[in-house]
Amino acid sequence: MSNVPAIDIHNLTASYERKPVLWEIDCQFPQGKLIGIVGPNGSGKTTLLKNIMGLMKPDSGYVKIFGDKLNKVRHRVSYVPQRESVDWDFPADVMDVVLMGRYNPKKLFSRITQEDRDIAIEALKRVNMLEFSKRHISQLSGGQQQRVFIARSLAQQADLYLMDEPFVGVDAASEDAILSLLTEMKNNGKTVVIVHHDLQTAYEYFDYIALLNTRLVACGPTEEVFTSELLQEAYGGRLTVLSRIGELIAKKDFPVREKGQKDN
Amino acid sequence: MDSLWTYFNHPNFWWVLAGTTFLSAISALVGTFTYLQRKSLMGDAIAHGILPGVAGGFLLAGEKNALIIMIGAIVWGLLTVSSIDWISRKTHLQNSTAMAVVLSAFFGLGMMLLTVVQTSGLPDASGINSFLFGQAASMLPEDLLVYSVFAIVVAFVLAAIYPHLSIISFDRAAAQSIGFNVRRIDAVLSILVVAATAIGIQSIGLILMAALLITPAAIARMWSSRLIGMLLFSGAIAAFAAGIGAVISFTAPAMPTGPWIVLVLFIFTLISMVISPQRGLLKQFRQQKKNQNIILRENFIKRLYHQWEKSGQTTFILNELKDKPSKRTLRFALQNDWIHQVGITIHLSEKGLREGRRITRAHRLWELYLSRTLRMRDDHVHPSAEVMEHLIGDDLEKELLRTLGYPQTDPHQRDIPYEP
Repeated sequence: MSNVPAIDIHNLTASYERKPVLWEIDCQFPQGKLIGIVGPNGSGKTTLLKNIMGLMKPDSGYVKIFGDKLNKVRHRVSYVPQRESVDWDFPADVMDVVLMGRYNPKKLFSRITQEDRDIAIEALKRVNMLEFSKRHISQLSGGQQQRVFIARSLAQQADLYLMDEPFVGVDAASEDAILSLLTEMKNNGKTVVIVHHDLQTAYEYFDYIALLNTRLVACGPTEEVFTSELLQEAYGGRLTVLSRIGELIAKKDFPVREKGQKDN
Repeated sequence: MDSLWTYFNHPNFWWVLAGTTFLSAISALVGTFTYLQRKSLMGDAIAHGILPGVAGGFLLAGEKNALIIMIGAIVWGLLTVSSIDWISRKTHLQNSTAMAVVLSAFFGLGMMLLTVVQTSGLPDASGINSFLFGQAASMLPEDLLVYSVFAIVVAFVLAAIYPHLSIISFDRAAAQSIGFNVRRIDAVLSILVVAATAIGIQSIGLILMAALLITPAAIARMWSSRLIGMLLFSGAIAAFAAGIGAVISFTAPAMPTGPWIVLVLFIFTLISMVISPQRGLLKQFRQQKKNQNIILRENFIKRLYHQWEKSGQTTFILNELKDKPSKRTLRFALQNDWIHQVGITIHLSEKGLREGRRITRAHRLWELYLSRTLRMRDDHVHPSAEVMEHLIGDDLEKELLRTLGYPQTDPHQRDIPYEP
């Protein structure tokens, strides 16, 4: 494993519905760690993840993954959206969803091969869901649905995993299963980045934490970040000036950067 | 029957029957994806917005030329889609508003052009009305050939991007993160919807084309819970409805085809709503009945258990029970050895005690949970527990026990009974 950071976020400013929710984020996530993006509601955690994943365009700044542009290393990255972001009434069983991790965007007329199936079965075993492979996804509990999402992600066989709130609405058994899987992934040299809102558990789960509240409060090993001043800064109320200027930008349809101005 | 045979012997009958069923099946396949992406209205907007292209194509060709009309329809269909997309991206108008605006404007324009066609004195000009509501029987083999070629292309594209369409229908964000170009796939799907609408203009007609895109998918969803099954089902049902429409179109030439097809589809929808194995009304009714029976028999054994709890009594005289069980409840209790009957007395068995204890335990655990965790007042917790006791299974009971730390008494200071 090289020393290149898994994720390098450089001067990132990003908006959600034209309102800037992330200001000048600058931080690096090391490889082979369990990393938490932690902050209160509305602090821009999901927006940060979506910008890393190229699902949203930043107003300024850039993100590098394994020292490269996302498009060059996309096959090494896997993303698990929030469970509530999809309609679980979609006509698919558990196996169908996990196999989606094997779909190839570059190929036309592609069909699922036996190898794809074997990989999907392996992924389901790792999240303890193999026995449910024929079950319709609407008939699963929240925790089981989350594990299916993670299995789909495992089927992509990536090196870097980004997960958005995988512990929300999850029963105790699923939480244990997910947590031990994450540790196992880390031990296999994978990097896992998790958006998480609960401070209590964040300390136990993660090796490395980015503490966020519309701007980066701190970023580093958990022991260094978990100080009462920093937590107070992240959770002790918003910066009213920042949020008011954000609203102004949205209302007047103002650009965050002037035209032609480049980020260094 | 004689008369029906003469229709079957009509030189175009089998052509038209095969053609319309095929075209409809293909349209329904495309429609299944728009249904899954909740773009049902899109088909309606395209079907109406396409009219200027149809009338314009007619004027341009100077006759009813299927190929030129088809091309006109597709061009206007694409214009419809891109106008809607442009308006909803560039303004603050909602997508549905943009659709309504474009749909009605283009349809109005189309009706004006249609009037021009009708008064133009061109050959077949009167036949252009068949594009509004469809007239399968009036199709010639060469028309069908044109539509079928387009349909085959649509089927080919569907087969090529089947994984693409299925993943963006379920999870756009994940699809995008894997590297699928969702905007391009959206655009291709829009083109497919336009083509799928245009191939049906003569057999079903513009106005009701949207129904052929969406209704088969809606019916199929009630019968299948996997994408592949849904596609097969919706294709088959659309083909069947179109076949009936085609037959009627030959037997009653004055009758437009589209309304018949839509009516057949609607009847299928109604039937499916009642008897669908997954979400039919009949299924719901049965489920409710089943729940009711469970509640009745569990309440019966619970009451006996409460008696036992108070007095240690295990033998009861059936007619003296305060709430006499129904015959069905009694039969269930006997069959499951919850009780034994000797003449007019019943005897609570070990198994019945265990069942009563389980339900009572669930009830009291739930009361305690509400009182402790939700801080509800103690006199408010009972009604909820009356229902939940029937729902709490082994898993949830374990979870409750763990959360509450194996408590001894409920909020009313009654013992929570455990298995000895």
